[in-house]
Amino acid sequence: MVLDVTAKDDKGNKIFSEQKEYVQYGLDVDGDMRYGAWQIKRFADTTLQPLAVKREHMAIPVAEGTKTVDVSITLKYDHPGAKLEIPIYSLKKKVTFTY
Amino acid sequence: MRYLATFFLIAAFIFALPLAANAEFNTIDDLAKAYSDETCKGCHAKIYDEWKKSYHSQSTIHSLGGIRNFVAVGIQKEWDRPINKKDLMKCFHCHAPQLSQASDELAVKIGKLIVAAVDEKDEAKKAAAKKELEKLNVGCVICHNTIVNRPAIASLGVPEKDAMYGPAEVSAPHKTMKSNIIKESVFCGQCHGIYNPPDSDLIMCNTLYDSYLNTYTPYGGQQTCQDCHMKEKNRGHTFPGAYVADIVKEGIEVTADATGYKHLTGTKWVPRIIVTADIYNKSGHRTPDG
Repeated sequence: MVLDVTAKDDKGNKIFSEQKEYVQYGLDVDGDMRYGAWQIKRFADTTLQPLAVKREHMAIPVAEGTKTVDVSITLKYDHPGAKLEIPIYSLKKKVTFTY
Repeated sequence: MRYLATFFLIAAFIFALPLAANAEFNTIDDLAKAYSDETCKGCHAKIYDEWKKSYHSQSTIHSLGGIRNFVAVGIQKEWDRPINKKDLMKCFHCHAPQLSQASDELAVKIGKLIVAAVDEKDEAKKAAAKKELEKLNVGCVICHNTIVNRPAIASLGVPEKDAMYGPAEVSAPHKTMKSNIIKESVFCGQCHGIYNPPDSDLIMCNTLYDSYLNTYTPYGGQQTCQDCHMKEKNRGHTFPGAYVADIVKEGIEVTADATGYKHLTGTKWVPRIIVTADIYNKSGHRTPDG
């Protein structure tokens, strides 16, 4: 599952892009990432925990003189193996600056 | 004519169910026949159709890649063992529990078919292997008899061989038994959590149930697996999960915003945007999970 935040300035240039990944990486006894269920003995876990809110903050630096910035925030659930992507949330917002 | 049809239907139940109990099978067809859902379909068509759409009906072939890796990499390469029933059961304890009734020879054959269904260069042979493996799944008899008492086997005992266990007391042309455990999360959890096989080599295929037990319920969660994945929206025996958009979206709530402001650096004001996203996992387990 990936939270993607992208911002473009009023000229259409991408000025910010950041992804937060929520995933459970299986690790073997040596602490190396593995895919096999028989190899996995512990996890590096950044998944969303049940009944909990995960709050993400990001600060987007904007060049002086920029009048508008288009911000896009999306959350998608992807299954790379099955080539399946489930869009969960999407917000597009224009942020305006006056000088 | 109608009475005759009913007679044959009842006879079919009587003869179909016992087969699943104590026999040892030497062919996939015999094993599949003993656990066939075709007899159930006659009276439970709606449930059968729901189940047919579920991943339970594809419990072997949907996980073919992972099971193939276990056989070819795990058993054969890393452990340096021939394909054998005991090791195969580490997957099939859940992916097709009926394999416990396969002869050793049949189990080895199934193990080889698993590898062939992924690695075989000859497309016709590959497709044929896949077709055979489609016969191994988690069907009616598995949940409503074979594994129904497994999480509490010492107290509930081995299921009666000719009975179908369900959540309510009902009368049917076949023997029925009311089961409380089939309504409990632990019933699903026996397969949707970490598996501890007889040789104790843990199989961490997924950890949903562990998350449900250790995080969801301590934080006050009270719903069962069946509440969300079966009862809600009359999902029934389709058991939707991580591959179904509707239930994935239902489990996650997002609130987000982006706000601009002028940031003061020394004596200079620079524009800046703060993004906040709150992602609430409303489901009964960690998300995502395997």
